[in-house]
Amino acid sequence: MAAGTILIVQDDFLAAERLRLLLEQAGYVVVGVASRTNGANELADQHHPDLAIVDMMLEVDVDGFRTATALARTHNVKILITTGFPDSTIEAERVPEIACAILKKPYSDQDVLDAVARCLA
Amino acid sequence: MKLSVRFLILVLIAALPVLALQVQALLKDREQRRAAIAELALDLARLAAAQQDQFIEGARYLLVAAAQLPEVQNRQGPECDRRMAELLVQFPTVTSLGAVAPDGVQFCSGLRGSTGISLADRPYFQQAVQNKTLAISGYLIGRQSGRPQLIFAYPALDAAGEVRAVVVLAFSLGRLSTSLSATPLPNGGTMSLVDGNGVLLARAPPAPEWVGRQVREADFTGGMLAQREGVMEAVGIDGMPRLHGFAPLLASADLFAVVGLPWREAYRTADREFWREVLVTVLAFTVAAIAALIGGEVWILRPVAGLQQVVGRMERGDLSARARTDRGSPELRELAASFNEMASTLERRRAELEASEGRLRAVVDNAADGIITINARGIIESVNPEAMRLFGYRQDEMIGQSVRILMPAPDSERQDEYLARYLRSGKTRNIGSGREVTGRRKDGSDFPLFLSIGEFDLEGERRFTGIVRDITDRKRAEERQRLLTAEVDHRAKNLLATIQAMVLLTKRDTVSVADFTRTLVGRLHAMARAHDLLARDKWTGALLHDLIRNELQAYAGVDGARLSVVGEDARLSARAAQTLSLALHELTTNAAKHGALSVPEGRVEIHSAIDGQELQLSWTETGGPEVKPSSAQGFGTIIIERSVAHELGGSARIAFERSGMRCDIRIPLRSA
Repeated sequence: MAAGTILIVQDDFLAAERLRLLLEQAGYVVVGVASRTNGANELADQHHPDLAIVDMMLEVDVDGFRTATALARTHNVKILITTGFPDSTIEAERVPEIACAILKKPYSDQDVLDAVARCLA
Repeated sequence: MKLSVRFLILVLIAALPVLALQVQALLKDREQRRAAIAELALDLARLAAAQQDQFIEGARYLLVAAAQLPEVQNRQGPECDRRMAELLVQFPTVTSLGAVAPDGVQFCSGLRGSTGISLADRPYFQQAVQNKTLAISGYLIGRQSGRPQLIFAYPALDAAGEVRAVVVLAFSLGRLSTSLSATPLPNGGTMSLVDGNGVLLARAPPAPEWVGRQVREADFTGGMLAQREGVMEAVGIDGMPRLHGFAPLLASADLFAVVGLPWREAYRTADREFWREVLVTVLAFTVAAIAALIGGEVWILRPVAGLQQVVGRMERGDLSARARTDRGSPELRELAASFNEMASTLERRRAELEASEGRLRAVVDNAADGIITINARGIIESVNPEAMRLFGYRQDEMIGQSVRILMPAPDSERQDEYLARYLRSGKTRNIGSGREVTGRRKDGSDFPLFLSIGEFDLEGERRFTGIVRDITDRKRAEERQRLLTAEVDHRAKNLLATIQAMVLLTKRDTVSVADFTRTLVGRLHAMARAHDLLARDKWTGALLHDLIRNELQAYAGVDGARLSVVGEDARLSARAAQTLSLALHELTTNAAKHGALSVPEGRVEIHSAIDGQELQLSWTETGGPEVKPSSAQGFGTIIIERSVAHELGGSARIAFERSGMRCDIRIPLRSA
C-alpha cells in the first residue's frame, strides 16, 4: 500500500471527489479537500500534507498557480499541478519549476497514481 | 537681333547690287569721259599744231621769198635793209628780219643798227648752212630785243646750189601767245607751245612769267619726243592736273602744240550724275525700308507681339489666354490657331491633372491610414490628416522634422543608421511587406502600429512613403481572441475532466450498465441544460427560477400543478447556476424515483428568499409515498450536500419528514 498524506485543492467538486475516492482507495491519506486558497492554507497548516494536488485555475481564486507557489513556499509541500491549459501557458507560467508533476486534463486514474507515486518517491 | 533690324538688313542687301552697278557705271562713265577728253585734247593739239604750222609756213614763205631777193643774193646791204624794213611792217608777228653772209656776219636787217653781228656760232645758222634747208632755233632771248623769240633761218642758194646768204627771221613769242589766245578752248583748258626741251614758248591763257622757262609739262618731254603725238596726264603750271594732248608743229621740228584739258571737271559731271542716281536709289530703298518696317509692324510684329503677350500670360499660368486669329498673314493666323489649340490642350490637361490630383488628394486626405512621406535624410515632407490625428501633431509640427520624433527608443536613435544602411546597401526588412512597430505620440505615449514602407524617386531624390495604421484595437482584439481561444480550450478540458470524473463517480454508484447509462445521461443532460440557459445570456449568469423550471419542466404536469416556485427570484453566477443545476437534477431524479414525483398526486414546492447576505432555497415534497433515509447514502445525495458546500461555500441539508423529503440550501450571496 502506498503511503503519504495528500491535500486536494480543486475548484470542481466532481474532480475533487474523484481524486479523493481514487487516492483513498489507493491507500493514501487525503487530509482535506479545498476549493480555494484560503481553505487550502488552513488545511495545510492543520495537517502538513506531503503533497498538494492543485488545479492551476481555481475559478474562484482565479490563479491556482499562485496558490500552489504559496503552499510550496510556506508549507514545504510538494505540488502536483492539474491543468486544462496548453503547454505554452504552462511553460510561460514556469510551472515546471515548482511542480513535481503536471497532470494535463483529462487524465486517467493511472495517470494520477503514477504522478503521485513519482512525487512521493 | 530684332526683327525690324533684320528687315533693314534685307532691304540693304537688296540695295547693294544696285549700288554696285551704279558704281560700276560711274567708273565706266568716268573712263569714257576721260577718253573723250583725251581725244579732244589730242584733236585740239593737232588743230593747234596745224594752226601754228600755218604761222611757220607763212614765215617760211616769207623767208623763201626774201631769199630770192637780189639784194640778199647780192648781199647789197643798204638796199637789203630797206626791203627788209618794208617786209617787217607787213608781218607784225615777225620782230626782226635780216640776212647773214655764209661766214656768219649779218649784212642786212629790217631793224636799224643790228648789222655786223656774227651769228656763226648759232646752231640754227650752222644747221641752215649745212642742211641747206629751214632751221628753227630753240627758244632764245633776242640779242637785240632782249625778248623771247624763235629764230627761223633759211639759206639763200644761188643757181649752183651754193649758200649765198642765210635769211634770218625772229618770231616774237609774245605775239604767238596772242594768236593762241584767239583759239577757242573749253573752260579751264590751256594751249601751249613747247619746244623739245620742255621750255614754254607760248601759252593761252597767257602766262608771261613762265614763257622761256621749263614747265612741268616737261615731265612728258621724253614721251613727247618719242611719240611725237599723244596724250599724257600732268599737272600744269597753275597746279591743276590736266590731260594734255600734244602734237608736233612741223614734222621735223622739236616744237609741240600742247592742249591741256581739266578732266576733273568732266569727272565732276559724271560724279554728280552718279551721286544723283545713288541718292535716288537710297531714297527708293529708304522708302522700301520704311514700307517694310510698317508692313512688318502691321503684318508680322504686331501679331507676333500679340502671340508673345499670350504666351507670356500662359507662362504666368493663365492658360485661358488666347491669341487673335484675325490678324497678320495666313501663316501667322495659323500659328495663332496652333497656339490656341496648344493652350486648349494644356488647359484641358491641367484641368485633368488638377482633377486627378484632387482625387488623389481626396484619397490621401480621407485615407483611414496615416500617410507620411520622408526624404532620404529622414525628414518628413508630407503628412495626411489621419497621420496627424494618430500622432497628435499639427501639420506644421511634423513637416521638416525628423521622422525620429514619431518613434520611441531604440528605433528613434537608430533611424538615421537604418536609413543610411539601406541607401548604401539596399537591404532592409522594412520595405515592401509591412510590419508591426511602436509609434510615439506627441504626448509621449506609445501605441502599436502597422507600418508598410514604399519607396520612390522624385526630382532625383529617393523618398519613402510610410503608411501607418493604429493597431491598438486589433492588438486588443487579438489578445482577446488569444485569451478566448485559450479559455475555450481550457474550459473544454475542464469540462472533459468534469465529465470524466462524473463518469467514474457514476460508475461506482450504479449496479448495472443500464442504470449507469441512464444516470450518466441524465446528469449530462442536466449539465447541458444549464449550459443552454447560461449560453442564452452569454454566460453572464441565469435567474434562479428559470434554472428551477428548466430542470423540473418534465415533471411539472400539464398545468404545472405539481410544481410551485415561489419567493424572491435571484440572479445566479454561471458557476453557481452550474453547481445548483446539478444539485436540482439530483433532487428531481431522487423525487422521481422515490419521492413526490414518483406518484401522480405528489407535489414539489420550492421557495426562495434572500436573507441578509444569503440566498435561501427550500425544496419541499408533499403527497408522495412515505420516505426513509436510505441506509447507504447514494452519490446523488453526496452531490447535493457537498457540491454546494465545496463550490459555493454554502450548505445543503436533507431532512426526511412524514409529509415527504425536504432540502434546505443556503448560498452566500457573494458566491451566488
